[in-house]
Amino acid sequence: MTTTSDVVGLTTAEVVEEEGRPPAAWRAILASTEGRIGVGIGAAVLFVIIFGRFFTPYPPNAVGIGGATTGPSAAHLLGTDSLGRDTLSRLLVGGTHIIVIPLIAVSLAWLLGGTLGMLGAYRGGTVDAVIARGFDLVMSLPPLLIVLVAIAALGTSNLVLVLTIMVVYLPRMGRLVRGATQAVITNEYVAAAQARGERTRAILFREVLPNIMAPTAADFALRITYAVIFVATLNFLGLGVKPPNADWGVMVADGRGYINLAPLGTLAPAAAIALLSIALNLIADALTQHVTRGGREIVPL
Amino acid sequence: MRLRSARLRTIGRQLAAGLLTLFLISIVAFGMMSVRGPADIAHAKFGNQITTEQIDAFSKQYGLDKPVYVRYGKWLWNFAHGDMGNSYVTDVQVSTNVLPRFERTMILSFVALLIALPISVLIGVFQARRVGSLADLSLLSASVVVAALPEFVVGIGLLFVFAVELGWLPVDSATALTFASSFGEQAKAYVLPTATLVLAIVPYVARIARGSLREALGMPYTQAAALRGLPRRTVIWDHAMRNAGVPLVNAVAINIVYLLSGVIVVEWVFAFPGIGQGLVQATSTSDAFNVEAIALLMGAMFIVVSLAADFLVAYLNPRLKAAAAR
Amino acid sequence: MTVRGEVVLDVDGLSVGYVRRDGSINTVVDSVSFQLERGTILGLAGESGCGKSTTALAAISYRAPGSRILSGRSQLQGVDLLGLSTQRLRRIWGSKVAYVAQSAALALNPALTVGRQLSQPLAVHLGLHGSASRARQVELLESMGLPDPARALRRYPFQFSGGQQQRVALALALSCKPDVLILDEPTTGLDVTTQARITKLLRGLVTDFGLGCLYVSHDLALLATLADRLAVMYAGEIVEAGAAGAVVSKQRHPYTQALLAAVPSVRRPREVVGIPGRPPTSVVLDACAYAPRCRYVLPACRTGRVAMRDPGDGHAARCIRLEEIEKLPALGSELAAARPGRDVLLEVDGIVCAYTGAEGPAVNGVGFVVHGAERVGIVGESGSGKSTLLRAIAGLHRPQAGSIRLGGIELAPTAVKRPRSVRREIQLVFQNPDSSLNPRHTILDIVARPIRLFRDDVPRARERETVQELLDAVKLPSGLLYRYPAELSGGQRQRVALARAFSAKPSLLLCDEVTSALDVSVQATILELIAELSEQTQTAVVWVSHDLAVVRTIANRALVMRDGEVCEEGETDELFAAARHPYTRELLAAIPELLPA
Repeated sequence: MTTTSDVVGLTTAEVVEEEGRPPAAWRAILASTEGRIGVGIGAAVLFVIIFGRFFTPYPPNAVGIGGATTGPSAAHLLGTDSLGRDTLSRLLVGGTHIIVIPLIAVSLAWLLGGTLGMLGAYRGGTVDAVIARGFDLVMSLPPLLIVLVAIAALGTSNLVLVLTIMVVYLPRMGRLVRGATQAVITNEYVAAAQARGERTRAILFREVLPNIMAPTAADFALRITYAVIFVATLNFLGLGVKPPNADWGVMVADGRGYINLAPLGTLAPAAAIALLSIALNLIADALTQHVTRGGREIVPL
Repeated sequence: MRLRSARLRTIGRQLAAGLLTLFLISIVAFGMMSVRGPADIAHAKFGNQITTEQIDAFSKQYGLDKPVYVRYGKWLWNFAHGDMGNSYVTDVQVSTNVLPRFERTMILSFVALLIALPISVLIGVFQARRVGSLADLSLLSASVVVAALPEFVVGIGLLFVFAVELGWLPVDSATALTFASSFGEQAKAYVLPTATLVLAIVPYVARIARGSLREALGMPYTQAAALRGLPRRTVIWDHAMRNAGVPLVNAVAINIVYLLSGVIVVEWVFAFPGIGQGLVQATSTSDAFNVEAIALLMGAMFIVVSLAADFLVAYLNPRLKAAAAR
Repeated sequence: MTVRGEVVLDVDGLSVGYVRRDGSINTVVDSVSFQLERGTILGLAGESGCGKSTTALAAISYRAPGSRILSGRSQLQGVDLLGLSTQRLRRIWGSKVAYVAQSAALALNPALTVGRQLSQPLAVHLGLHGSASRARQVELLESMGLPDPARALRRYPFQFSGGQQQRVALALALSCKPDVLILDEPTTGLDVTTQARITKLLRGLVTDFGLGCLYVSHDLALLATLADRLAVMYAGEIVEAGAAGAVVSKQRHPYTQALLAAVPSVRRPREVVGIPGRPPTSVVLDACAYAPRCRYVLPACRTGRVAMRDPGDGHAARCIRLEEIEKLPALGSELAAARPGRDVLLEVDGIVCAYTGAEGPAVNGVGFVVHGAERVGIVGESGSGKSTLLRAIAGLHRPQAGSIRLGGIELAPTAVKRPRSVRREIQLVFQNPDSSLNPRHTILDIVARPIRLFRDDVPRARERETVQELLDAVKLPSGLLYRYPAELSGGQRQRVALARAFSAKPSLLLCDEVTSALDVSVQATILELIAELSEQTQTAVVWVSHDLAVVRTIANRALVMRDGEVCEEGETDELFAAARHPYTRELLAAIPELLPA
């Protein structure tokens, strides 16, 4: 309940009803329970991915360290695979590929797609039409299909993976930036900047970019999640990392044939992938919630 | 009526766009598969000892000495007439490999969609009606977690529980589908792949359904309908859902291809002899004709699904019809 | 038959609150009482946030999301609606009480045909189906004055104009012959001539059907001409209520008095007075809520709650000094007058603007001049081309033909191509400060930008100081430099936009519906400010607005635009006193007017 004294101080700073600037992305993530859980799990998995290699009990690629396809034992906590390699050691080193490739590919897609999308939306006309058609064209192709066709044609390598994933995500990310920019440039502060005669670059960086960062960041996080799943899936299909290098997706596929004998050989790396992907998804979701919050209240029925 | 002819025109345009996409897929697939020259293919098939004369003979036999566009034209022409060619990797007719696979994949995908879409919408409606409640938030968290799991992880999990531990269902779909004749045995082989696909689709679509219905439930027209004393059923399904349906179907249409791509992985996990498995196999052996044929068939399947979605949107959104009339 | 004067809805002591995030309750409507009588319209007036819409919905027992009805009764023919279950309310809503929301464009379902929407309440409440239902639908649309009702039934809402949509909404509301009609700003956003037609229709319907009607609006002048009785709300309470004529002619509450003084009028040139300060955000229970802003405040006003008091003539007010207040003369003070110079500053000649895909040009051969320090108003309804014209002058829309000269020098069609000095001289203020201030920039950033670009006389080190001086000049409180626009009120944001425009030291200020999004009391303070600043700095102003009264108040010369052309032009004193063009006369006749001619 407001008392008179609250109302009187009108001449100085007035009642602050809303927070001023929307908080930065990382603060928004940490503000939600979901985001905090995501960051917690994510940090743990990332720690394993980055530093796990220093704690391997056996050389991860050494064949015949133990018996073939054994269950867990004191010597091999997670058992061994069909070639007698130590599953735990392979698990500790096998997560690098599925996080590094997506990070590079999605960042590239974001930079290129975002630039094109923002430029198209701001310029309009033919430039925009060409960019939008181009995006539509690439997006009409089923993603996994083109990646598989590309691998069938060019063989697999990290470069092929990065490039094809980039091609898949570039139009999708570009389209989001384009849409966000289109929404922002209808604002009169952009018209005000144009009337001041500001240069295109100044308008895009000063007026537009700060206002599309939030939805773009949420999209970026989401795409990373998708790309991690994507790369893990390709590895699982045997179309990514080449043997003998350890990788979680490859381990799941290799262990699948022995799921009766040594279930951990396939379940442990599957769980690792699941944890990483859940963590990333929780973070992305926290960001998305933050961006789309403040929707209308629903009508009571 | 003007609206009707406008709708026909919209449908015509979308059909043309679909055919164009299919054409594009065929060019991309054929073009990329032609990057490997006859020598690479011959080496892969006959080993490195093969002589230049033998390569030339091989290349002549399969017509690989002709320019790409000639080969593409011939392939497309034959394909349109039902001849998918012979694989020069396995020497087996592509159609005998691909067509039975295609049939199984079609069944798998459409059954999965048929189960997943109504469930998703119902869950979404259930949640949107009680946004912020414990039930809603639990379902929301669950959907985030399930959506985060790659299909092969879900598949392996289901396989472990239901096939390995409980032994209810076959570990290997291929044996069940290719040898077992009884309908029951065959149907069993579909259960886990379908369940995995459904699990991949539901959290995603339910989330969109929840969001778009929630938005529609907050609109003034919903309030107005409620204040006209209309029954809850009419307000939700006729007033809110009809509007929520447009963004929902649109989002599903955009993502259906993405979601259905999961069929490739699911088939691989369960050794399900569909075109997805065929595609992965053909990819790892760079089997050009098989890759191309499957790419085109899968593309056609995806396009049919997204066309269906487009038509639904045109039906739900009268504004679209009017816009097309202009 | 129905008896005029019979009470159909009796609302008594209604209090409504919203649940805050922490679970506590923020009371926004407190002890509101009123009665709706058959065949009469009760106008409920107030500025945004005063609780009038919440009151209207709560009166028919509709709980807006997050809201809670705290106490009170609302009796419809002896039944208290507030105690009924949703199930029973559903039988009353739409059949006994009808509600028409703010915007028909939003309240009609875009995906359903008009016929289908009409058929639903008829089926649910009256059990009408098939041809009987159809006949009733046609009859309803006909009585709302819609042309070709049979065809209209098959069409979707978006295929109608704004005015027609509101007629459809009225048809829906009246389909089941209700006793009570609640209208929430039903004509806001419509053109003034359309508004006049809708309100005329409404008046007839209320009389013919013997409806008890509650009309919620921010527009005092409209309610004064339309309503039989008038209640004024402030901070969740009714502060004055009585016969409409009595309330308008002799106000008994200082707020009503100040509010009326803030309403611009075509019959009262250059006289509006704003109300300083802001209303409280929730109900004040331990004092008079208006006390902090009241010029007649006594110590007693601050220490206890003031009760509603009726001296005996049915005209009550919530003021301990109501007898004195009613005798006080309305506060009048003139705006700073424009002192136009002799020299022509801006010359616009034969401007033609068109949008791709549009049928005709938006602006079709418009020409006019603006002298130094002159204030020129451009008035017109939506689609008249007035805003496009302004954008062309600002260099935001490239005209197809015509010339624009500033100080005798021809200007390039787009702002980027114009020399820096020209871009400095012409500054623009927009309608909506939410949209014209970048939410990611601080107030300092926003106001300093034109200084950085255009003011060679201000070194970087003095920028902050200069910005503060400008904020002082637009009468903003101190300490806002590092705030973001979202932290300011609408009026404050518009002041920031003004500070930004004046920071470049322009000679010509282009104003596009600058006060349209603001409450009338805030609008008055902005008008005062613009008049004062433009007079002090000898800045010419081109003021585009749909509101004739505002143009009359601020401008010394005006142009009336219609369909892209100027149909009349002249000194405001003459133009509004003796309009020659029939369209101008139509516009003037359509304006609801507080003051007698």
